[in-house]
Amino acid sequence: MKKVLSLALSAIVLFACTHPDVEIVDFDTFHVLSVKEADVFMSDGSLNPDIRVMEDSDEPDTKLAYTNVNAIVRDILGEVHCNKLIHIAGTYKGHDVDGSPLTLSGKLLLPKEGPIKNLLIVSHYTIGANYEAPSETFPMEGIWAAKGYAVVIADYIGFGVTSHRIHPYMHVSSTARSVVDMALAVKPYLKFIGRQPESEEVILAGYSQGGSTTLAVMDLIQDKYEHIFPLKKVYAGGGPYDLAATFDTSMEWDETGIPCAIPMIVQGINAGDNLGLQMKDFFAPKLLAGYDEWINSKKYTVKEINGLIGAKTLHEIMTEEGRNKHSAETARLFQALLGNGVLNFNPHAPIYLFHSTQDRTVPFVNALKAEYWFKGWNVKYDFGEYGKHGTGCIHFLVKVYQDL
Amino acid sequence: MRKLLILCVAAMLAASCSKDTIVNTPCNFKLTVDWVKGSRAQFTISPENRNACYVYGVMPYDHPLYNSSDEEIIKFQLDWMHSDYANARYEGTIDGDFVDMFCYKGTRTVKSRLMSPDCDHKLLVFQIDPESLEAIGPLHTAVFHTSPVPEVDIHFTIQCKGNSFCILPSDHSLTWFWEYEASDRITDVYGSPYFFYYDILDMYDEYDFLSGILSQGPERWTLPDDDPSIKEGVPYVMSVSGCSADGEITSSVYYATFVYQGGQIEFVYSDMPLMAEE
Repeated sequence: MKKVLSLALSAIVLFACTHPDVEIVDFDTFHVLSVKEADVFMSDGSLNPDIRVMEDSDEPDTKLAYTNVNAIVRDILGEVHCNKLIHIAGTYKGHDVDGSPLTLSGKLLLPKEGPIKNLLIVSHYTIGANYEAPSETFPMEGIWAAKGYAVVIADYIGFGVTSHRIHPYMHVSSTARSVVDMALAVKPYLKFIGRQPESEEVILAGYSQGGSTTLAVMDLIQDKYEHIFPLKKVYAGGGPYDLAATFDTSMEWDETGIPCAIPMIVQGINAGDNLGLQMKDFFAPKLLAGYDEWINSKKYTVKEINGLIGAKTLHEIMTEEGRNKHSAETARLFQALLGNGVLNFNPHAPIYLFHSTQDRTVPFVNALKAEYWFKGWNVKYDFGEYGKHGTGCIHFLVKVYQDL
Repeated sequence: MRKLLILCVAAMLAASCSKDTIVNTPCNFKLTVDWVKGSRAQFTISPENRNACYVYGVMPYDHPLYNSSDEEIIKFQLDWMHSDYANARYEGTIDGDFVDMFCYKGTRTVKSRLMSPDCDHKLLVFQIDPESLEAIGPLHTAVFHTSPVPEVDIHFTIQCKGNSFCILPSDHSLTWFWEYEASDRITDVYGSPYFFYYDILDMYDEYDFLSGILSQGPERWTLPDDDPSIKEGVPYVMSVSGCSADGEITSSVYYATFVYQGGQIEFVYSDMPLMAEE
């Protein structure tokens, strides 16, 4: 019956949709460079199968076993998306990991009509393929724009126009800076097109990698940009806020729910912090032989990369030295992981902090660490049995949507 | 019609979510003191009912209420929290609720830091009614004694030449610790990097990572080889002290500020003797 309901819903939604366009602009000069058809819908009007929310890599989640989680999000997406959002992809002047200028890209989503309440600065979750980059597709967090917000989603370094570069995965300062740089570029652009938000206050949001980045963005804004972006509220969900604790927990379990995160973190932190590490010290032979193609070609999704790695136990993925944080090279990485945690600051705006206690991809210990650091501050904790990491993402998207 | 359907979807999702259960009857707590060091201790608090709301605190032996009745201690703690919460609301810095700000639910492993060594402390746990925000049930306590931290006689000299420096401890048999960070990252409200230094030490100890980075005897540092992330022209604050294997500071903490520029290290301040290296 529920499946029937879901299918009926999709049919009704699709019937009402037309194909929206994506404007490609230069956010620095305000020039429209081109217009392309959004790939949310296929030419026959059906939803693009590549549009999806984060997926759990293994068996379906029992909590939502009666339906496919993507079906739910597609339904929501269809509902909020049809003819109601303006899609603008573009480039802006940002910064490289070393602080030097670098042109980056991202996506701006606006409600087609009506006033815009606030700028909603979103940090996206982990992606693998470049076609999943916000500027290249419809980022699922874009559904929040339908509630009257200008949703800004930067491509992290290594995606969009910088897809040829290594993504400094989980490197806090450069990733947060990309996000803020795009917001800085979009603010005058919105004024130029006459869609300036009613309030100067901004909202931050993100899940998983995006949750962690969101807290880093909050720290950065509080530190340097609060006069430009006074913070209204922050939504962070399922984030690896404490990379060192995540490392320890994964080693203890000898397992990770997201195998591709191993090579992405090692090479990402190595690039971001300029550590000079050798991947052979960390990756088992199969991963060492394949990681560059699997990760850096940006051709494969997270799920596909996990499949290519073909293992979830750390002793199959990593070398013995790489798993030992006291070995010389891993100690350097571990020290950098400690330095790339995002909890060592005092939050001055309300935070909604969400985490599923059943999450084994980004272990729940991350939320407990956040609670420990932030107790006494203005944080609403929402910890519950929300299923695995991907299912938690759905809950987070819906909860934020309902709260906005 | 579509709005109705989307509400159905939302309802389906909501139905799969866990529900918050309000607990306003007392339950038992199991308190475990996991470990105790000189200035830090870790506890695990396990409520019998995982939905019970509770708060915890640590009281040192020299607190005026240390030997007071359980009721007086609960009243003191609760009054303080209500007052703190009311002030925060008045100042507009908080718009969340009391429970989120102060209370825990479920088993938690928590730490107390910056305690005085070699003295008695009392872990205090009591349950809160999340609706009335009053205490319910008894005060649960666990008494523990912090370890002594022997003070050692160690001081340091810095030798500097070109792009490297050497920290020379006065006693080569003792372990010591040093750390540096860009000065704008050190945000101690008291104007001293002490708490930043304490936090770093505590962090390394918490992650069982201290043993590999404690120093013994002279230590040389060359930039940028030993730290490729060093930024030119940025002042860095260096902190140095004696340190025990379990992460306790065993001597005065000494400070210096240096800048790396054009392949040279220049110390612009130091409370340790500076020597040019031959």
